[in-house]
Amino acid sequence: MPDETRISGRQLFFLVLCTVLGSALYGLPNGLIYQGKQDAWLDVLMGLGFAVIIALVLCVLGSRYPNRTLFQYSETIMGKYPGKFIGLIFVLFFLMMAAVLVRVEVDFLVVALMPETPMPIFALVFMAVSTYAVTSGVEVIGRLSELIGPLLVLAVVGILFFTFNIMHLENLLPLFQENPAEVIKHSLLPGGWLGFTVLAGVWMSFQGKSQKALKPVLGGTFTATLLIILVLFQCITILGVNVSIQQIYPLFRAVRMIEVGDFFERLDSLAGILWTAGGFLAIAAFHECAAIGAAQWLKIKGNGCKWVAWVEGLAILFLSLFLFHGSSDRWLFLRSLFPPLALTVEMLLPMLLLTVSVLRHGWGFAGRRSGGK
Amino acid sequence: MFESFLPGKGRRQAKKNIGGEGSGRGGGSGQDKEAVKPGGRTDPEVGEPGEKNKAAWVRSGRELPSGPVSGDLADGLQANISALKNRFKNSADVIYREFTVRFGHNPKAVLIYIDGMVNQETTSGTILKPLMFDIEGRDYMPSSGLRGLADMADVIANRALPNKRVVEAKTLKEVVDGILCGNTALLIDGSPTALVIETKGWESRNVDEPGTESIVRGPREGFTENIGVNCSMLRRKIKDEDLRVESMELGRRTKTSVYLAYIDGVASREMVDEVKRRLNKIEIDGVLESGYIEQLIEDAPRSIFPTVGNTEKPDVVAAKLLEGRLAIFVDGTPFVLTVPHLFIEGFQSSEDYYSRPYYATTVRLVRYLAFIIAVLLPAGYVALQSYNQDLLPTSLLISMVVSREGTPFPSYMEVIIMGVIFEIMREAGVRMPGAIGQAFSIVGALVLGEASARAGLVSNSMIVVVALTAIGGFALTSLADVIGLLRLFFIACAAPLGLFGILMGGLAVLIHMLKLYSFGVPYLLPVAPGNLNDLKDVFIRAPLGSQVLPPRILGHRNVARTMSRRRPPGKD
Repeated sequence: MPDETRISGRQLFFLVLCTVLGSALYGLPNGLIYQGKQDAWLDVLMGLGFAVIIALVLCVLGSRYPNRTLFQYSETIMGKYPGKFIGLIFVLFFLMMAAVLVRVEVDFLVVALMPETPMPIFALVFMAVSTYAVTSGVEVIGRLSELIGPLLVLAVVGILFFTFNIMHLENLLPLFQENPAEVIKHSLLPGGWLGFTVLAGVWMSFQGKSQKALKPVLGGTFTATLLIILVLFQCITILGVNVSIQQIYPLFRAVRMIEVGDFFERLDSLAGILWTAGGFLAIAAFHECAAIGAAQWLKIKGNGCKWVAWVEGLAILFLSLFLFHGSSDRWLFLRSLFPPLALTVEMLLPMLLLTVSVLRHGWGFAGRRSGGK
Repeated sequence: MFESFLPGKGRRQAKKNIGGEGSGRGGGSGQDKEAVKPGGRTDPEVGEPGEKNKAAWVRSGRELPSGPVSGDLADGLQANISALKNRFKNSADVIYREFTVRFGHNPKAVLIYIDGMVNQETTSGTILKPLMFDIEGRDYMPSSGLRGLADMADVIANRALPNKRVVEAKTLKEVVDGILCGNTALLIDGSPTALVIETKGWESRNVDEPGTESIVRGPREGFTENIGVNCSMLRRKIKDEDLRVESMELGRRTKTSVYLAYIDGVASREMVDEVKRRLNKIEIDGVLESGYIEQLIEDAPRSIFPTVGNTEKPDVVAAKLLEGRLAIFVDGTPFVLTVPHLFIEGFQSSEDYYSRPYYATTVRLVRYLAFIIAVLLPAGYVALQSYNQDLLPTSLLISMVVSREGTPFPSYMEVIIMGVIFEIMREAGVRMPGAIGQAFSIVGALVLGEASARAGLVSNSMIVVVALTAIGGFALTSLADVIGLLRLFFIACAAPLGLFGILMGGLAVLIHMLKLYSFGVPYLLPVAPGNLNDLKDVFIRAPLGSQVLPPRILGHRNVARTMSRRRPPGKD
C-alpha cells in the first residue's frame, strides 16, 4: 500500500457506492421494512442526513490534512496516545464490519443459493480473494470498484424494467404513518449503514487532491441512498409489506418473480451472484481500510503490509464464523447494537476529531497551510 | 569459440586461449592484449534504416565470455590470414580468395567472406573486378600519388569500390564480426586497416500474406524474416523523418540485429527510455525469435496474460506506432513486437479501422461475446448442471437433462475430458502433415463427436458446448493461450462451487489483471482506470473523425490525430 498510489474521483464515487450498496441489497431491506413499513424510505432519507454529516466532516478533515488517512491525522490531532487509541477503534470497527459483511454475505449464499455447501468454505473463499485484492494495493480496489460499480447499479436498476408488470403501486399506501420521533429512531439503522461512507476518510488520502473528494463522496452516498430506496420500492410494490417482512431476502424473492418472454425465469440466482460481486467489494474495502489502518498504526511499511493484510484476512474469517450463532442473532445485532455503535464510530469520532482540530488550529488551518506551500 | 557458455568457466578458458594464440602466431603481430577492449565498439553492421540513429544508440561491446577476438590487425597479410584462420577453425564455408591488386605497387590482397551469406555477383563484380582488371590504374590514383601503404585502403575504399557501405576496420574483432554478418573483408598486404564491404545477400522468403492474421480488407503483405525488408515496409507506411529506428545487437553468439522503432514526439520519452533500458539489460547467448525478447522484457513473466504484443503485419505496426507505441523488430522472424500491449488490443483487429464503424462495432462486440463463450461456457455448463439448475429455462433444462441421461461421468469430468480431447485434436491439427488431414478430420468429427455421444459416453449437449467453446476460441487467435488457461481455471472454480466459484474466480482474475502493467501502463487501461476518450475504441469503434486524440497514457503530448472532425459535406 504505497502512499503514491492514487484513486481517481470516479473510483472514489464507485467505492463509496459499492461499499454502501453492495452489502445493503440483501442485508438491509427486510430490517428497514420491518421497522418502517411503507415509510421505510423516510427512514433512509433521514439516515442520509447522518451520512451527509459524516461525508462533510471527513471532507473538511481531509482538506485540512491532505494526503493523510483517518488514522494518521487522528494522531496529529489528538496527540500520540489518544490518537493511537482512536485509530485502534477505527481499525477494530472496520475489521468487525468486514466480518459482519462476510457473515451477511455468506448467510445469503447458504440460504438462497447453495444450501448444501458448508458456510466456512464461502467465508474462506471470500477472504482468500479479498486478501489477494488487499495485498494488490489501493489502486486495484479502486479500479475494481470502477468495473463492478456500474454492473451493480445496472443489476439494481435493471430489475425495475423487468418488474413493471408485477408491481402493485397500491402496496405503497398508506404513507406517512410514522411520527417524527419514530422516523429518527428508525433512521439509525440506515444511518449506520450509509455511514460506511466513513471509509472515504481513508480513500481520500490516496486521491491527489483531497479537496476534490467532496463531490464523489457525496455523490456516491446520494446514489447509494437513491438505489436503496429504489430497492425498498421494488420490494414493497412487488411483494407488499407483509411478505417483505416474512422474507429474509425480499429483493431476492422479488427477482424470483421476474419472467421475461416465457423463457427467462428464476433469474434470482444470477442477480444474487451479481450482488455478491458488490458485497465482495464492500468486504474488500473494509479489509483494505483495516489493513491500511493497522499498517499505519503499527508503523509498518513496505512488504510488511502484506502480512498485515494476511493476518487481518484470517482475523476477519474467524470473526465472521464465530460472531453470530445464527441469522436471528445477526438480525438482533443489526437492529439493536449496530446502529449506536456504528454511528458513534462513524459520526461522533470524526466530529470529535474535527472539533479538537478546530480548537487547536483554528478554522482557517487548511488555507494557511496550502497557501504557505 | 567452442567453450561451454558457463560464464565463469568460459572466461577463464578464454584467457588461456589468448595467451596460446599470441605465442602460436609467432612474430605475427605481438599486439594481442590480455583482455578484450571494453570501449565503445561501433556496429559494423547497421542496416540502412537505422543508419541515421547509429550514433544515438551504439551498444558498448560487452566482454565476451568465450573466444574473444582481440588485438589490432597486423601489417603483414599472412599474419592476418593465419590469425583469421585460427579464428574460423574448422569452418569450411569461410572463403579466402587471394589475389593481386592491379594498381599501386600491386600488393597482394585477400577477400574473406562466408559462402552463401554474400551476394556472389556483388563480390565478384564490384570488388574483385575493379581491383583485378584495372588496366589503366590512373583513375584510381589521387593526383598526388600514394602517400605510403597506409593510404592504399583509403584509396580503394574511396575510388575503387562502388559498394553502398565500406567500413574501415582496424581490429581483428571488427573484421570477424563483419564477416559473420555476411559482409566481405578485404585485407591488403602491408596495410594495417581492412575494409569491411557490405555484400550481404542471402536467400530469403518473399513478402507474403501473413499466416496468422488473415483479413478480408486491408493490405495483404506481411513481414518476412529479413529485418531490413521489414523495416523498409514500415518506412514505406510512415514517411516521416520523426520515425526513429534505433539498432542494437542482442545475443552473445547469434548477434541478432534488433531494431527499436517509434515516432519521436508521439511515443513518450520515458517509455522509449524504459524499453531501451530493458533491452540493454538482456543477457542471453541466442535470440532466435522475437519471443525470446518478449519473455525477457515483459513486465509479468509469471502471468498468463501477454504484456507484449506481436504482429506480422506492417500496417498494424504502423497503426500502433501512430498511437504512441513502440515496435521491436528482430532479425530472422516475421513477428514484430509492440509495446506497451494492453488487454483490449487482443480484441482489436486492423480491419476494424478499414471498414465502416457500425459493422466494425458489431464485429468487435461479437469478439467480446466469443471471448466470454470461449472462457466461461464450459464452466457455466458445469455450474448450471451441478448447482444452479434453477437458472435454466424449464424447457432447456428438460432437454439438457434428457441428453445427459445415462452418461457415466459427472458434468465437470465430461467437460474436462472433452476439453483435453479437443486440445489434443487442435495441437495435432496444427503439427500434422497436410496429407493425413482428411483421415484426421474424419476421426475427430465422427469418432469423437458423433460416436462418443451415441455410445453414451458423453452427452450431446456437452458436445455442443465443446464445439461452441472451440469456435469462440478460434475467433480470437491472439488470445488463444489465455483463453485455454482461463477456461481450465474457471472449470476448476465451477466444479466445487458453481456460479459462486465462477464469480470469485472471475474476481481473482480481474484483480490479477488490474495489478498488471505493461511498461508502466495499466493493463486494462481504458476500462479501468477509466478514460472516456479512449473508451471510444474499446467496446465500440467510433468513427475515425471522432477519435481525435491519441490514447491518453500512450501519447502524452496529445497531438491531434485528425485535424478536422468530419462533418457532412456542404455544412462547413
